[in-house]
Amino acid sequence: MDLELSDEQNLIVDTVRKFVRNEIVPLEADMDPDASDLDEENHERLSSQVKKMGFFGLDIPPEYGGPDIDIVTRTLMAIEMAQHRAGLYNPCYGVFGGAGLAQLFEANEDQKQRYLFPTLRGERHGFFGLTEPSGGSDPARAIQTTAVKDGDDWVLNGGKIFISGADRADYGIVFARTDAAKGRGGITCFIIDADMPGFHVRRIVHTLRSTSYATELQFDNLRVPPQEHPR
Amino acid sequence: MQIRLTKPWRPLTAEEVRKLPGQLGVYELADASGGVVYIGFAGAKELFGLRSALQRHVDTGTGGAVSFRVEVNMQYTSRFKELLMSHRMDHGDIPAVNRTEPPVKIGRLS
Repeated sequence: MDLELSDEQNLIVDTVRKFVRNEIVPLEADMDPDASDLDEENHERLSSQVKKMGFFGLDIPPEYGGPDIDIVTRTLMAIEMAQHRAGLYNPCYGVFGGAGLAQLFEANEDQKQRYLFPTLRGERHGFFGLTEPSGGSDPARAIQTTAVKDGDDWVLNGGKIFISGADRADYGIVFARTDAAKGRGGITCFIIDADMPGFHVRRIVHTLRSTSYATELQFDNLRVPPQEHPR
Repeated sequence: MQIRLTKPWRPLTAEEVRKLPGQLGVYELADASGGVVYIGFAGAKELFGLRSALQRHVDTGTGGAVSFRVEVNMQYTSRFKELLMSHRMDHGDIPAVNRTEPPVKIGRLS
């Protein structure tokens, strides 16, 4: 088995390594040691550089415009992208873009137009709302948030905790129990807009890594219209 | 921990600031009417923590502030943002002196 890197892989690794050393590390010298954000000007400048390099949106599937990088090369890039102070929890401060929320790739075409594609372009931001005070890793049993049909709408009541980015998000993916008798099969995923009445970001949940904070959410008779049901 | 700072107000004088610990944390400054004019933090780059951060405000007379209150807190960045967000929720905007500084990326509470 040939485990040597290809010339192309070596070139990509070297390019990312130089980018981190020349562009990211010097900026950190002036930043608070606990900072997780670049200022807007530098973020825009470096994102533009990444786009010119063809590396923006690394994890976006190629059929959605991603750069189609294989998993080995992607892993090598991840190693290089983490070689700075905040690299372990916020590689390159997000200037390589994201891939959006996985559930949106299964959404209908209308929802993709309104949520997925703007997110992939970096124009809209979403949050992922699963974990509740009753638990996070066993949603079939833990989810207490309910969604009850009322006419064509669904009405959500309950709350979420440890939700990253909800205070700055435009929308979110929220899981709620629609049928208590069906266990895991009775949980449904909704898209909610952050400006919907009844959606509240109650507080920041302070964690050890101060800058990558989470939030606590509350849904108080949050009415979700039928077009925001994922399927 | 409550969302809003609830520590007692103290006079913003060199004598009072000398009593502060050299620890990380957040603080608020208020003018004579009791309105919060500035929210700040003493972070990892602050040599003597809250004490040296507040001393600078004594020296410069930030925003006409006459009193301060502090909270020792290791999570100073997220707590700082939470205080800015709660101030905006209560008053419609962040404090006047914070508005003159480079923008801080914050979200909203409701």
